[in-house]
Amino acid sequence: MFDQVLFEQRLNDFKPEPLITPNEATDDPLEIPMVQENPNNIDLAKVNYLNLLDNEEIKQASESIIREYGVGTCGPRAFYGTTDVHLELEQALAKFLHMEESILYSYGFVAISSSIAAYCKKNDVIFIDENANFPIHQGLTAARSKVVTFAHNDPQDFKRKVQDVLTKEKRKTKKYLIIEGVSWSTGKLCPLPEFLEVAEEFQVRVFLEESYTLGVFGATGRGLTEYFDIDVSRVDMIIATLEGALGSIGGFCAGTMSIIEHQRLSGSGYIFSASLPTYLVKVVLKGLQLIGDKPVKFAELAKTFHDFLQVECGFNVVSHPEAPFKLVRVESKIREGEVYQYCKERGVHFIHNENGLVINLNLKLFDDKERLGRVYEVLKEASDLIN
Amino acid sequence: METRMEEGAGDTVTELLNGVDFENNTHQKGISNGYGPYSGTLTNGYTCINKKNGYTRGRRQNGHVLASSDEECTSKTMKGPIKNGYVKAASEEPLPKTRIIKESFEPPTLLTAALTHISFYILMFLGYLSQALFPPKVAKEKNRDGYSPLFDKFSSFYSMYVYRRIRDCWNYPICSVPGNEVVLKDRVTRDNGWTFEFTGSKTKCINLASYNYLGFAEKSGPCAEAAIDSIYKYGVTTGGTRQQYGTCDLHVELEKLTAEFLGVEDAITFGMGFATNALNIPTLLSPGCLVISDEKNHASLILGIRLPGATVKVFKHNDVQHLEEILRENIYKGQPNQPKGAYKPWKKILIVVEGVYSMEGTIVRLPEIIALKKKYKAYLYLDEAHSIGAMGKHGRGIVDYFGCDPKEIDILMGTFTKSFGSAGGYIAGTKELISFLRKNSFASKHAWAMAPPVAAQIIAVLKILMGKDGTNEGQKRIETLARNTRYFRKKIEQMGIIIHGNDDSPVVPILVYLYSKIAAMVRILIQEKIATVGVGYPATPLMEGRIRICLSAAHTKEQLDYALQVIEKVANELGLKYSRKPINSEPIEYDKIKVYED
Repeated sequence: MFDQVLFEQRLNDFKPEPLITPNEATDDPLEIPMVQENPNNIDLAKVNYLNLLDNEEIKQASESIIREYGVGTCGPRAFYGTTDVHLELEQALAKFLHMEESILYSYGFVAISSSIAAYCKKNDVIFIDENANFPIHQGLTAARSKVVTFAHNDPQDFKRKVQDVLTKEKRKTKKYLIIEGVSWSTGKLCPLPEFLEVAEEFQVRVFLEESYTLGVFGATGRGLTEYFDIDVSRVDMIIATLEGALGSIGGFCAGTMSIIEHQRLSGSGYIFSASLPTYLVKVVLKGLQLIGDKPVKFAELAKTFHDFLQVECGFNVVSHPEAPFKLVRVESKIREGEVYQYCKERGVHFIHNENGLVINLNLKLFDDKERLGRVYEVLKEASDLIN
Repeated sequence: METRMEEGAGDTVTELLNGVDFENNTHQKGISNGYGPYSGTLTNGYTCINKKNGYTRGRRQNGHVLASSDEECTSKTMKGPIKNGYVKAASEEPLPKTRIIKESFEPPTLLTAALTHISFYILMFLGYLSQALFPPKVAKEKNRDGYSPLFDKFSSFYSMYVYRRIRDCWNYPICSVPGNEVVLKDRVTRDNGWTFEFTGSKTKCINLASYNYLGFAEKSGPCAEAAIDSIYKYGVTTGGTRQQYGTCDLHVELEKLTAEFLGVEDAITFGMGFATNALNIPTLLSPGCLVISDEKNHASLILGIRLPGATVKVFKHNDVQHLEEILRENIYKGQPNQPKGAYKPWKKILIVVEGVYSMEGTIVRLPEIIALKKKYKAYLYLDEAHSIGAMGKHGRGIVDYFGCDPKEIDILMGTFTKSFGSAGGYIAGTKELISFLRKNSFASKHAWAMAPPVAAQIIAVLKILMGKDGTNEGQKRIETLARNTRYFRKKIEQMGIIIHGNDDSPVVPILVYLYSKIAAMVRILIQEKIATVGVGYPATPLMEGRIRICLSAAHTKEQLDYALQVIEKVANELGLKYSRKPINSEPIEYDKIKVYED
């Protein structure tokens, strides 16, 4: 029973924790501003693989969209937040990926987490890579599904885990496999054909996350299914952000009509959010038109660059040779910081995070050999620091 | 008329907020569950006059969810007590900084309620019938024989055989800026909603649907120009996260300006409003924390609250009394699942509320909630998505509307999608909090920074609202919105149509109850060149199908008058004049409506 005196005492004694633990004072900046490109500063930090961010045609198309539609859409998709441009892009993306339909989200992160949560439910078993990216984890936490992890990019381990679950389960559960084309944290390529074989053997549905393969893998940039020459119908859904090679903001899913339509009524980040600003939709439409042979050139650049880092500089390059970003790990974290700092001071800017040194390639380097030479020179000098 | 008065159904609950003084009330009156707040002269120092009118039918408190009367508090524990009347409270000595809360929640008659249920069951039955007779026109999946189905049977039945029949009322594509008018791209369906075809024609409608509260969804003018300039200066996006090379000057300027506008130390912005809630709340909580959330909170808040594994309790919509009960009960009990007899206090308690509720049109009872949070040592998270810009004398949201001190709210959140005609969201508060988020927010780390044109548009709007552009354009828009809101709401009430929410809320839900009437009304209004939003089950309770109207400073009086005239006509045709409230037939003169003077 409620004891008034005890309550008073408990309220009186209640010492809530502070709302947040303040940051420790450090000299490291919380935010690193974008690089102002000039002949002395080369930006390999920005994600701009196909150099579409610098494309004048895209900028002009964006301007004309703002002059017709304004900036924001002032409403969710269902409530007059769908413009004809949104519909055009959804069709174009589906066509590009040889899928029936696609659905557009207004943020890359949310496209991944919400779409996963729209299918994966409480009693389902979801198989994910041990290095699965953060949005995937967020989607699964929201869904409260049972998560089983397998060794990084290891189809055999995946198979063992599925068999393990099958022998233990009492009644049939829904099972999903979520894999990343190119891992966000290691840059390694997923052996998709092997994964699909296992998935088909055990009738596990497959969601393929293609943020860093779309636009760069495959001769036309169609991603992993083109790269491995796989029929798209073997994959239930392709999820990707539009923040990679396509140089916009937002994300999408593509699949069969029934899969995608389901999300229009149950993808919470789709229903309960304002739609993507129309000009950002146009950026992707224009980008798709401009892709052309860029993926082929880019693959060549990626491979050359990979070899340079590995062979010429002797770096430990963790990422796949064709990955759009190069992940370099130096054994000592302090040395890693020195390499980063050295290059930065000499005008070659890239990212340094908990995974290592992340160099985002830019197709500009393919066309501008002088610029590439400058990058090589600085990286080579930096490599001497550690060898 | 007199009987109407007598019955007093669907009255307006009026309260004067008073200087809130909790400490003085220490004696307890018979409160059945023991956790109820102390009463007597009422916790918050109000004196309440509770009129109990004759009208005695079924539903407790007439569906009011407003609290602050002890009647209401105790009634919760009694089984269905029937007090339908006014719950009116008048303060003894109103302090200068008060604001009258006028909200109305008239319930439907029993007949309407019954019909609503019956019509829904008929719809479901017809759905099952048609499912048995007509196979879905959806291509079968390839290579997926023997796989377990992707989604449960009911949800696919619901979307294919119930929702599909009225699918045309949503997702209407537009091909213009969503200003005071919007151009719809006409479409027809030849197969009952399975597929749509474009006819090639376009229809220009008055836009009563978009969240364009201050009319800043514009394709020309200073805001659009600022956005366009930024494309050429910074690019269409910055190509990175805020932490790693995605921050540009515009972000810094925007955050400084936002903090100044809101009157707090610092602010941080994100590329999507939904993500602002979903990706930041988890960093503030952990297991062992208690979150108390309003039942009508937005999906993004609910998602953010669910993620970190904290304990969640839900209080009745805007029911301060219920909130207090929950606070008391949980502080008393402490964390659950402790060894017998052990008491472990909560790590911290977070109250999560919105400013204006977008489906209800209600306004949070902020002064009372601030008082509660102080008394019970909780933190307060206020989501001003629909109120920032739209409410308050200076457009600074609900905090401004009530004249509260913004520093008393621990976390101020809002979006730029609505009043600002842009996209994204912010969190504002102390320097310490914002620095913490810059470092730890999932969005700063893993999601792209706000695009420069999006930021530039917001900066331009903020400058106008703050008068930094050297004109009084901002003030004018804020006042026009307030005037349009009062005018439109009063006019609708005069028609005898039931609307919900606060008299000052630009979100106006018109209750139509029946599922089929939602569709009928949306369709007829579009034919009459008015775009509105229909909301039904499952987005609202089954009983409360509604048409939602969002007013804008961009609407002219002529546009509103046209819309009102059409709505009255449709209301007659569809039988929407459900209200049994006394009608005040005094003429309403647009120009004489006083705003922000009370």
